[in-house]
Amino acid sequence: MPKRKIKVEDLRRFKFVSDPQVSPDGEKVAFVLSTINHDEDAYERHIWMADVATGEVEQFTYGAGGDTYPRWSPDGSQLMFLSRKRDPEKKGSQLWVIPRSGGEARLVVETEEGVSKPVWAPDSKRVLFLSRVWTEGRPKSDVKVVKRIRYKLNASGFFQGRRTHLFTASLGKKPRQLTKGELDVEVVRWSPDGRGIAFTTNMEEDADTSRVSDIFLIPSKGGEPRKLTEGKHSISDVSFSPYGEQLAFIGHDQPDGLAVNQDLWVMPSVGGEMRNLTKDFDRTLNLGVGCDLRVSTPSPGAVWGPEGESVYFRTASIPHCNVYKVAVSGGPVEVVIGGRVIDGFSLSADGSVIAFNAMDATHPAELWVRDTKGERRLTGFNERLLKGLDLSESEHFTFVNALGDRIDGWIMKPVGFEEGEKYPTVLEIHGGPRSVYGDGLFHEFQVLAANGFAVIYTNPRGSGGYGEAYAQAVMGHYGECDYEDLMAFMDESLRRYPFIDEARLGVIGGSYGGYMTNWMISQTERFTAAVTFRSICNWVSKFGVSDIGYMQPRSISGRETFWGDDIVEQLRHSPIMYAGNVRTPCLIIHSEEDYRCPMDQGEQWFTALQLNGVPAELVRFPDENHELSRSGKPKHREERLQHMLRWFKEYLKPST
Amino acid sequence: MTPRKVRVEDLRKFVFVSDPQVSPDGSRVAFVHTKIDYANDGYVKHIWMWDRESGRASQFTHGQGNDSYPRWSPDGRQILFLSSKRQPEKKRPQLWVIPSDGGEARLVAELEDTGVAKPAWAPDSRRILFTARIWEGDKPKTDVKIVTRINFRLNGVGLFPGKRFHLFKVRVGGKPRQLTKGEFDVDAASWSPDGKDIALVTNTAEDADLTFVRDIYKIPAKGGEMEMLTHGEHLIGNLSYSPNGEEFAYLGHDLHAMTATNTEIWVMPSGGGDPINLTASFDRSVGRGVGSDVRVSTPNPGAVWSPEGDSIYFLTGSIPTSNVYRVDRRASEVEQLTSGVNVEGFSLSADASVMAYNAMDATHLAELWVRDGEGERRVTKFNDRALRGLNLSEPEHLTFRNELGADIDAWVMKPPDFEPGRKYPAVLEVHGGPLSIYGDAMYYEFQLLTADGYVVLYTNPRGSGGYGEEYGAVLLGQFGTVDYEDLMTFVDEALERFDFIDPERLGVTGGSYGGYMTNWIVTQTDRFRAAVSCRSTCNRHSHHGYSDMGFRHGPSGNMGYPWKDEDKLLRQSPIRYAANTKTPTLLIHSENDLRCPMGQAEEFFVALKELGVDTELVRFPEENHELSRSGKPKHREERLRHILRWFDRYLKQPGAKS
Repeated sequence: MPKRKIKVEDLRRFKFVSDPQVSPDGEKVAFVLSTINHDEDAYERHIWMADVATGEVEQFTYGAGGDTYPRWSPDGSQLMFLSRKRDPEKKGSQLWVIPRSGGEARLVVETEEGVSKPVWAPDSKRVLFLSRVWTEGRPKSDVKVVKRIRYKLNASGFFQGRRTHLFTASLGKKPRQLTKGELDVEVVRWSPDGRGIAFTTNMEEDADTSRVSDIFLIPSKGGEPRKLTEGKHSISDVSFSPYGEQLAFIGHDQPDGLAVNQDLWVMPSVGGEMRNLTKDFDRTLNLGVGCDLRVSTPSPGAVWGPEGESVYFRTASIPHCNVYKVAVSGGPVEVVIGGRVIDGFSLSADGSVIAFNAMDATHPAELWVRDTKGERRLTGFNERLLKGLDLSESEHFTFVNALGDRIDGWIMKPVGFEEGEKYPTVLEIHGGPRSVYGDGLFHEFQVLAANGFAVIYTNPRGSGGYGEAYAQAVMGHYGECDYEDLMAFMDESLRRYPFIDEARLGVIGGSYGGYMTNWMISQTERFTAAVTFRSICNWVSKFGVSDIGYMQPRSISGRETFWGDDIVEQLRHSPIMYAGNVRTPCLIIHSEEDYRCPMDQGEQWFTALQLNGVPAELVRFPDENHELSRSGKPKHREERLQHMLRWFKEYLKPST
Repeated sequence: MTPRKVRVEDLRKFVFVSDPQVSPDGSRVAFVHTKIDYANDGYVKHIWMWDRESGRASQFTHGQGNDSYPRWSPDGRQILFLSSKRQPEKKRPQLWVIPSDGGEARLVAELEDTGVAKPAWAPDSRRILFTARIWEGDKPKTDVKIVTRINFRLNGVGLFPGKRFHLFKVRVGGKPRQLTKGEFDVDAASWSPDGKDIALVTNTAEDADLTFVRDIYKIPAKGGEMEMLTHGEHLIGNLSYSPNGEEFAYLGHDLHAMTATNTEIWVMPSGGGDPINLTASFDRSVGRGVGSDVRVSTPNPGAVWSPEGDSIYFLTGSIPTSNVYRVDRRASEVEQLTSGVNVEGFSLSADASVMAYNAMDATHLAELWVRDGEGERRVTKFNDRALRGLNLSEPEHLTFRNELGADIDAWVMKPPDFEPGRKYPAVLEVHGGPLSIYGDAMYYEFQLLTADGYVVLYTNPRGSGGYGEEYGAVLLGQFGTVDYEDLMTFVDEALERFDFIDPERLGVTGGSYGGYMTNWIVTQTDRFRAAVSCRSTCNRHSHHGYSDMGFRHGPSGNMGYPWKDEDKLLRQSPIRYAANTKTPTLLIHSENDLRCPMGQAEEFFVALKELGVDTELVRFPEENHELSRSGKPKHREERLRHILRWFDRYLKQPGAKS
């Protein structure tokens, strides 16, 4: 059968492998398989099980779907998971346990607001988990009385009077709340002897406006938390060494800094000296590579090797995302598994088996293992679909920017490319700005290539996945060096690839990439069409309206505030100020419930372009947030891509 | 029984009389009777009928519907009205007709998911015209909204991309027929007296969204081509044919003073020709009402011709009340017909011998009034019993002189149990608009504040409507200047005159432009110890891009554009001066406010939080800019409790400076 071009509707045919969890004995791998039910406009998620020795793969949970986060009990006899649809009456995710040998799943923990981040106790009998709690009781009114500056979060909504607290429970028994008060617990880990629990939070008054988090220890029976760190670190993950004498954490010691690398640190579990093990490894930890065709896998964080001699972690080093390890005694960081884009991994108890899910630029994630027999792929859920599709392979090249940095860039030729033809070309700009392009698969790019467009993309200054200085270069300078690099990349692409039609250039991006798209068309007329997605055009209003806006003023312009004279400086970095220069027809795609780059940003840009006589449309997605392109409702995701294609086809006129 | 002080919960005891419509023969008056159904957190609206002979009012429509907009057929035999929820699945207002002598109402026109607006009887009492916002093209199959026009949202309505208002007619018992089609919106329409033509107001130009200018067109009632009768010179609101059909009267203006331009009454030949301004020498804006937060609004009657066509009746505010006026068609002389009460709406019998109107004052909610051969009198007393039991505060009027030497109207309200010699905390109330006006209309919020022990102060600073055109226009493009000066002069004057006001315990509150002003005030002075800012704005620069009216503020409000007039916009923006704020400020906002969108309060809240100022943000879901006036009853009460809570927290301890 001849291969065909990929279509927007192929989205619903992909299957997504996430969250691989190898059993303690290394024999089985539990993972989440997500599929799209187009008729129901929903995702179905179930736990699947792979046998490491035979390579057999089978579905392990059934029912209405919505099963995620499988975790093996330390004794390997049971698997717990979160499920949100098993019982239609219950809202939020609740915790279920299913025996490894088969049998029915049973509900073991249920809370009013749902369960998150559950962890088994070493005894395989208890669990600890996080759940939101109404600290002053549930209000009787739907009116929201907001007293904190941090009061909403994209995709989660409004906190109102709710805080995230730490609970323990014996399976099937009533949970016990261990922390209380006006604080949010973030990460929780059980000590190997089961007596203590480590968690991270910030208990200070200024917690809402601070990036500091501390590690606390609390007896698992309850009691006073004891602070192990000194309010000088920003900490995103913590875990006990196998014998409990040490803690590893991921974080950094410059909570007031911007775009600071996350490093791996160890410290005695009773508190004491902290050592940065990855100081000489100039990459930030836990960074993934961009992709719009995946179901995200929870970050594995800092994973101790079996004897506590080394710690494993995952992060991006372009174009890949690798599993690394570093010896606790010090020494260089070693690549354990490389050459692919790895989303998540886990280790068997003796460390001999590593399960991971990995993708590349033309294959979505599948399940892989590495054991004594080597490295192999265990699943092929997408093989049949991919065999029939004529995808565009990206070509890597580099260019040198004004500072002499050698910068990665990629080009994807249109499918059916013919030598001598000229092609309309779309520049894709990633978000962040600390996100990063690599060998991740983008349906959006493939759809463009299948429709007669060349696609080019790069990682300009400000991107993650390189050194700290590279990411920090754009801090306080939005729209400056990033813009320079993107334009230099455009020039270089035109120089190298004569098939790019200079008269038919498009630009597109989402989030910070949407900001850059707006910025580009307010600074140059070289683009013939633009599609700006979940974008920003006015930083000043974003500071007040976005869930994280108040943390951002310094990043944008270097100014600390958004009032007084600083307001003018912040506006200098805002596309709205240059709206009068725009000539490029622009499609504005925005989600109505985007709390990160709120809807009004799209509205302000639309109003400005309309008043300036620029062809502009505003496409508003109801019931969607900032994650529309990655985890929005399946029909909406397809519609978004159709609108993008419609716009570029209208203005860039690819030959069909 | 001694009257007691008013409480928040008293809101649900009131009855609201609106939209009085006298029958052509003058024997009866249909009106809308609204009460609050607290248990269901809703309003119940029915058509009631007052009978001139018996002097009694009785309920005319029943059931679970929300009935409004009664209009008599010219032969007096039928009444049309709009009703939603009469059939529970139909949430939008549909067109019903009921015989005036009894019998069941029948559904005459329904437009699913759009509803019917502005129905009007044909002279033959058989046909009805109306407008409806319908899909231009097929109804989309997706919930994704594709917006291609700059004007795509309206507070209270929501988003309407892909929809346009068009003109329909329906014969009672027949099927509605659409008379206009295309990329334009029909605003107002009127039958010619011979029933052959329909005149309508629209703007069919491509840039219609960017201008307030409208034109009058004529279309055969049978359908056909639209004929343009005017030439893009005026903003045009209401439209009506003279009795002999030779002329139109309309409300409008030429925008010479932008949004502050007085609305005038114009007449022009119905075949086209130059319009004449009948009210040029009357320096008031026609149709402007006086503010109140305890009313159900009555549609503006517009320009109402006398039977002989020799004069035109209209309604407008001239402080302290809004009144019915009559202007002579030939001599252009304006005569005031009502006085002493605040008139909300009126109508005339066919021979103009009977006029019905609804009117309120500062301590009485609107009731039905009639003026006929027997004189002028109030004929309903729905609220008498509730009010008799309440000890309300009577506003005292005063004037003060501003820096220009103008005498400005102001009022002071004392607590109902006022004791001479005591010192009271005081709250300055600032109205919206800025072209809105205070007068002799009732504010429930003010009554509650006085009952809670506050003195309430309010005035009409420069920028207010209800005075001459210049008084309102002076503020355009310079919010936070002369308005602020007048307000501060007023507070100085009040402190000077009234020694019972404790200068250490002053509060300030307001909504919309009044909320803007509250935010502005706390960034300019520390004299207020507490502020409550409702549906406010703080950033005129961002407001431009996401308020339903924002994009019009450049050309119509002298506000400029974000990309070239940022300094002008920021100079009028409290956010720029946020760092000066010390006053504890409560922000009350509706999440679906499309006029002063939620983001405006979020911006100010985040700035005040960052700056360490005491603040809270109270967000009302599923409410829009009209929360205080027509929000859900429970939300209206909650809003008032939050205001009282905040002022009580900061103003109730004597003298303690925070």
